[in-house]
Amino acid sequence: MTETVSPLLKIVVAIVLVIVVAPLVVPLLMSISDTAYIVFPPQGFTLKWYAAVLTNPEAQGSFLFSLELASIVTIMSLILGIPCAIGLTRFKVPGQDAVLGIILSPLIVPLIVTGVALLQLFSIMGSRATLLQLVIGHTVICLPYVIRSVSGSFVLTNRNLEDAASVLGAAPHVVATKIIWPQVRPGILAGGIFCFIVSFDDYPISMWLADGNHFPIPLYLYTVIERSFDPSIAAIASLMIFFALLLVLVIEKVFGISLARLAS
Amino acid sequence: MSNPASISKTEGGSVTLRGISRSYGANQVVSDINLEARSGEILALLGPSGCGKTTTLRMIAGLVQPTAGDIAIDGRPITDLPVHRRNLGMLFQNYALFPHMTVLENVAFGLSMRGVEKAETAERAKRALALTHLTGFEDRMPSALSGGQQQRVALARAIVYRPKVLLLDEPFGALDKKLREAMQIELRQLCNELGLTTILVTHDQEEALVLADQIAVMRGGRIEQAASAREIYERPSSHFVADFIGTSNFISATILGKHDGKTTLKSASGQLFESLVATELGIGEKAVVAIRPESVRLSATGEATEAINARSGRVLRTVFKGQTLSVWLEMAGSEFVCALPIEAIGASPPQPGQIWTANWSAERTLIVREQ
Repeated sequence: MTETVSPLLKIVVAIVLVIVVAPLVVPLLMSISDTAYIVFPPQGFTLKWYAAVLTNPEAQGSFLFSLELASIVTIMSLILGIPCAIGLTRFKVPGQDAVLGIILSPLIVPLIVTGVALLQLFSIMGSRATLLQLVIGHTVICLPYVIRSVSGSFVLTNRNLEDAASVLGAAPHVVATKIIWPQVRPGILAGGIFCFIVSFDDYPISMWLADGNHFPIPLYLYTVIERSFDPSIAAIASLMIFFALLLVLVIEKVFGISLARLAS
Repeated sequence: MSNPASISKTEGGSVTLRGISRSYGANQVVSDINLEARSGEILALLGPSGCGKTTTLRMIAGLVQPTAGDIAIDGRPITDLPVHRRNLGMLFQNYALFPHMTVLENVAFGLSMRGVEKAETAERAKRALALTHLTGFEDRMPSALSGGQQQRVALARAIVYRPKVLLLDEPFGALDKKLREAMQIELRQLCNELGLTTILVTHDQEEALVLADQIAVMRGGRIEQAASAREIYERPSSHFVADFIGTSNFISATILGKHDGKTTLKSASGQLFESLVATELGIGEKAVVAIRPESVRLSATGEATEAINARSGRVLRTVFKGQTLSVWLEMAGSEFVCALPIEAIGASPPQPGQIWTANWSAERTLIVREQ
């Protein structure tokens, strides 16, 4: 850790960080502007846009629905993704690469195409179950994140530890809970968080599959932008950023897993 | 203070392997191994990498299922017993300490798996740590320990529940030479004190000689020779064993005659050898004469001579090694190495370019199989 970092690397890293963080700061600043329309840099200071958004029943409903949807999708993705990741990393199955390719394909195909395809499929089936459709759609695009992250953590597990535990008298289920789980927990949590955030932020899939009663927050944000152009849009965007940040911080506090480890 | 001696001596179990084989597809890794580790004995499986020694150890542990054959401890077959019910102790190559548990939790793991009550578990784990000189390290994490300390934790963890058999997989490979030697002696003492039957896998012949009562030299999945350390060294049965354990000079020869325990051999160049070492090879068979460097005496002849059990050659180089002086002679295009005790060197030691004659006694002339 005492390696000297070249100044050039420091500059490049600083530039990258600015590029990543700057767009997040812009809506934060715009959201406190005491004007009837969005301006940058902000003029004056007010929190009224936040108050407007937080007391708006439509915004509340969309926010709660997105929470519900993201929670169901995360649980579904973990239930499907963990066994799949175990199968892909611990066993030799014919056609393994093909399976992995199909699962990861939503990362390659434009989301909007996946959304249209799902819409066509559901309409052929005559489906009216909007929540289920959204759950399926989001799970399809979230699963790659879970599987990548979970299989990564399984690849990194030290098989020697499992052998050692068995020799010491641990039955297979004890090895799973006491030896494997502590090693893969960070990867599973990271996968779950990614999954939650991807679902929570999704627009292109929801756009095709949602209806008036199932209206996720990114869709609501878009309709607000179409209707008006006041700083409440920036306030919603800021709240979404705060929410994602809060989520990561809570996980870090509760599970003691650092952001750095999640990223690796 | 806890009393280290309070981990009482248990009767080590005898381990018997009968016709053990293991193959992966067409690849036969271990073929028909028959071996017995007697109660309380330290047995070393010694061989180059890929000889099947680790697979054999893992089959005893139950981590690999044999494709044929039986394993028994104290005569009771364990081949079908799952790993976690075999009640063995095992030390892994890189210690395999659980990184998310403290030292004490690591050591206590085996006891809690056996349903030992909490207070007793802690008590016994502490005693095992005392036995491996780690009192005071209970609450450290394994990553905060040095290699030698991690090794001791692994050892305490393996013996705390008093297994009858201890398995060691290249246990000292990661330690530096000094520490390795200290740990070897400590381990040997501990195993003897506890009466543990110990099976050790190593590629280091010196380690096998230091630790083991019995050495099984393996090659290509088979046992080349299994005997006491001394017998392996002094009576190697094959060219491979004589080459793998210690250093030897080899000369191909044919057996001319056997008479009164004395075997006469002749090399391709016509040189005669006499040996008092018993061999199962018969007259007319091809053999290899092996001479240990330390069995050789040197005399300055000044000119080339050739007699029974004596050969002369030009000194290529000499290397001072502390207790011995190694001298390389050139003989018929190949090198012949001699190790002279320092006190046996007179006022004029061998110098490169001189002609010296090596000779050795018939008791020290080993006859080994060609293959």
